[in-house]
Amino acid sequence: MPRGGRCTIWLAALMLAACGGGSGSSGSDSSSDVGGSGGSLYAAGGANVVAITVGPGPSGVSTFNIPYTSVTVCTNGTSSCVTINHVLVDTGSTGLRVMASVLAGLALTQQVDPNNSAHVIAECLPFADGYAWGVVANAAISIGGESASNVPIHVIDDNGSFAPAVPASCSAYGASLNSVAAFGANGVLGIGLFSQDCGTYCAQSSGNYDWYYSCTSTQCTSTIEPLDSQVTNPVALLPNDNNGVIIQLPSIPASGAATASGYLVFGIGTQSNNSLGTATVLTVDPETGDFATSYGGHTLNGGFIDSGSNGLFFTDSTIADCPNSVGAEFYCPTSTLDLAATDQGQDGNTSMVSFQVENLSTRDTANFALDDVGGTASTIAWLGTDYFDWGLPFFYGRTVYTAIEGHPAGSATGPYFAF
Amino acid sequence: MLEGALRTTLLQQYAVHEITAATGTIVREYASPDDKVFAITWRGPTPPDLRTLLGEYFTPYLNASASTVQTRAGAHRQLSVSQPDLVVQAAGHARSFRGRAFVPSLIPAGVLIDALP
Repeated sequence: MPRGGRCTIWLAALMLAACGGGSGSSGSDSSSDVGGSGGSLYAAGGANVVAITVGPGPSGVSTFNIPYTSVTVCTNGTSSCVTINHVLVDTGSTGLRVMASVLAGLALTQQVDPNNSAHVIAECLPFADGYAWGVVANAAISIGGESASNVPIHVIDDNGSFAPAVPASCSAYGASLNSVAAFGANGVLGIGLFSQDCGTYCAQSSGNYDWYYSCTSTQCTSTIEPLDSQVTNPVALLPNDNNGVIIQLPSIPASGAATASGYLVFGIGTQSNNSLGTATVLTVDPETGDFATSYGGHTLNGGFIDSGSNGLFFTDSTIADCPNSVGAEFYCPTSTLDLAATDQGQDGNTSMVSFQVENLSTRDTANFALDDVGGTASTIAWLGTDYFDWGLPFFYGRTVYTAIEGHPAGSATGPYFAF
Repeated sequence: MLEGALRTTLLQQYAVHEITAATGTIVREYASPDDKVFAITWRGPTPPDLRTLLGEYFTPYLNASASTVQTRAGAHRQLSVSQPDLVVQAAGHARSFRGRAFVPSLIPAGVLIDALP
């Protein structure tokens, strides 16, 4: 349940006013001085501001460059709540997903199949590295001073509390991510470009993706899931500040930092503290969420900005791969590389981004925040010359906006990224 | 069972079977002259049925990916499995997935795996 929301808004307004002089202008666009100025815009807090930390994960998880926050999940209409830490902040997915074990028995309203009241709805969400499986439930959630009720969320069955076996069409996606250790988090807060995780193709029989299932106590079959029942971007269900988010992380040294603390801000241009300013807007393909990135003389159609990726992933056959012991998907150049790429939105706006790639094998393993991590993208010529995944290193020292599809946000309408 | 429209292109060293599923996901299978599939690639809004596509290689893939996932838990946009007899690279996010898998020992002589059409 919201805790003193109005008081926090008032305090934030005062503090912003007090701090405003330091940044010289409304300044939400001044990405380059975010880390060093000591006057970070969102340090003042506010009802729409919540802390995120890049650091060690839950017990047993030691992956670098994973941003976490805390989310409170409540039974609808009650004060029965559980606050869950180590929830992955992810602009590359949609919807809140939490491990059943960390709900600690909190009773949530399971979605019932509208065509058969004896059946419940479950979901199998594919990720590139496997699948997450479990029931769909509706819950009230609070993040910082923001709250939404009746939000469809995914309860990942990491404790066997959901009886039916994983359907064969689900396990065909690859490895199970149904544990904190495999998922790398107690849950994921998907605050990406879309309102629902799947969209129209799960809401119709033609071309259905097999993500949603109707289940008895023993077995599940693929089903149609109406849009407004699908696991939904919680931001889109906030009463205000519902058109997108801002993520701001500080600059960190080239050698990395043990941890990095930043902010997740709800809304774009909805409050005095979240204006788009002069950030460059890159609108994306409304089907895929991708824009174009030009790198090394090629234009890649699959460019995306993703806080849930722990490196910058792109194809460059001239950069040496790391050994398996470090991670075959990463680059290990002999000396630090100064590189650049140009992003272009469907709106024609462009932005050149300079970045560095260091030898990951020489990193200090005590550092969980790493700025210069690059990795290889699988080279597949026919795929429209591949993709460029602007993962977490892109966020350090920047203020990055993610606007939700169909929502006016500042001077443009989502889906877009801006920075 | 992989269902969808099938198109086959015969090249000098191998044949390309392209399957477009109703979901919009496109899979290409690359088969050597003796009709062994040595590589697959995919792209689309949802991943393909890897159990069907990888066949006998699916279980080794699961075992390798399950251990890879544990060592880099939380990084859900990339997966790289690199073994002597199986390479799988999967990437992307919901509504935009892509990937490839190949068996190095089955690649016909002279075929460049990075340049498959």
